[in-house]
Amino acid sequence: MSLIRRENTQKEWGGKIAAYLFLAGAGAGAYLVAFIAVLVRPGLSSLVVTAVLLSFFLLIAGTAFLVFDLGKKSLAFLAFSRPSRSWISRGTIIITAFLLLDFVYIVTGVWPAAGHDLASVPLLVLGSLTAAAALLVLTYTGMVLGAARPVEFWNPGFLVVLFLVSGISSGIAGTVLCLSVYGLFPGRETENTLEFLAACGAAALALEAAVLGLYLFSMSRRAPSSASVLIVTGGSLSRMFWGAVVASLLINLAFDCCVACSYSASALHLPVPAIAVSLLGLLSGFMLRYIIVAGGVAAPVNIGGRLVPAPRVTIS
Amino acid sequence: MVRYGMVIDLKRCIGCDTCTLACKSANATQRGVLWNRVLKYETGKYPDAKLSFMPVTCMHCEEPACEQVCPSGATLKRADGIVSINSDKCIGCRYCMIACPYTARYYFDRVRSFYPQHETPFEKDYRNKHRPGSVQKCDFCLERVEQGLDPACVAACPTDARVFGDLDDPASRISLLIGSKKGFVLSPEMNTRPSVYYLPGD
Repeated sequence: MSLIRRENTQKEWGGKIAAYLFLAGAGAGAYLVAFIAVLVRPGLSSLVVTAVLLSFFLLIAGTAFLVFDLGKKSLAFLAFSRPSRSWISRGTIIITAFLLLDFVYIVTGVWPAAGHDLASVPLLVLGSLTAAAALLVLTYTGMVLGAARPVEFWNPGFLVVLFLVSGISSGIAGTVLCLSVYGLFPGRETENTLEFLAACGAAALALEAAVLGLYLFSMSRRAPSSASVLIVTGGSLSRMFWGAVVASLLINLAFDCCVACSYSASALHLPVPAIAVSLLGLLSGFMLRYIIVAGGVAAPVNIGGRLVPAPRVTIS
Repeated sequence: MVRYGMVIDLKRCIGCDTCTLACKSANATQRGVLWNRVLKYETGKYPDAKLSFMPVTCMHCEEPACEQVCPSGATLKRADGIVSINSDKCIGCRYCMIACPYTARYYFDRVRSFYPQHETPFEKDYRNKHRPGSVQKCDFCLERVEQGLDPACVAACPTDARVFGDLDDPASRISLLIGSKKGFVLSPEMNTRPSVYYLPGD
């Protein structure tokens, strides 16, 4: 049985929403890495300044993508209206709160008067609040998709964890890229920074690869979401998945492992490989979200026990 | 309080799409937008294959998934059971379209005329009826219902396959049909509790 006209994957959300989710996740991830560095590796001031500033601008850029995607941009403020029910409203409030806290953290502790004691109690409290908001941002990027009940592929449990670790790995890639582009700083701090970022990156990427594999395996065992898995791994999105997501992720992981194990830390002193690998990391993070958004297949309509694919109509 | 709903008798539906066109005419929806559709699909195998028809529209659910995800409050569940969209408040995020299990919603991004570089008199008259950048869908012909009329699709159906009425009135025709002919709803597992029921076909 087949419908005469149908399109399987959702077409309502595409690249702009994927970019929004990616930038929000990468920004929150960059902040978390900076805050972890403040807590466990004091003295990496270049890393902290770069990552915290980057997080702010990534969140601004991500919000811009959401606004660009709206049909009526002038009414974007109405997205705050229903936090009690809608995840977009909750996310809008969470991102706004993060931006405000991040801005205050930047102004009071990070820039322009660099050299503030980030381990002081007031800044630690502020930093912790901002880190909590960053965690909520990462959670939100998974929940906003997971709340769409007909698309079983967007499983909120898996997506929250996947986007959390992917956000951190993307934030690290963005931070490495910025540090590399404006010139790696000489001396002991460079090695410490690179080792710290590589260790965090390797852990996040390994976890990301494991969660991604488990997610796809789990989704392939259920009827509606298995169609999405087929599209992602063997269908129209498969080249992006294997090339831009999996290959990039593995290259990034191998590179970070090498640096973290101090086998080739000196290689990262050259900006070109660091830039290339971090660009691959960012590409992997964006494409991961894109294929998940674009690969969403709605559950079939149940007509008295007979399942018929949900009819999608595109206007041309 | 009345709770509006609809019954569609699949035995009576002949797939003529009169409801589709009546809806377009009454609501002046633009090219490609079909608030009411008749899906056609094959059942059985040769030599006993058959074309079956499934008219679909907004289900005006009691627990509408679209209303739950709407961030601006544009989608509203009215007291009379009709799920309506306030296009002045719709920001065009299309979250509701993804959340709707019945794909009953359309995004109206810009005006498209049926004929390139030529607007028909009908299109000119109704050009400003809908707001670009917002989502739209069936509203059970709200203006007609408020005048005591049936929705256009119900009034136009040549086989009387559609019945509109009060689901809360046990003596109404719609309630009697659902009770006596084993009316069912689409995708009950989604827990949206639709107000559009179907009577079984062959």
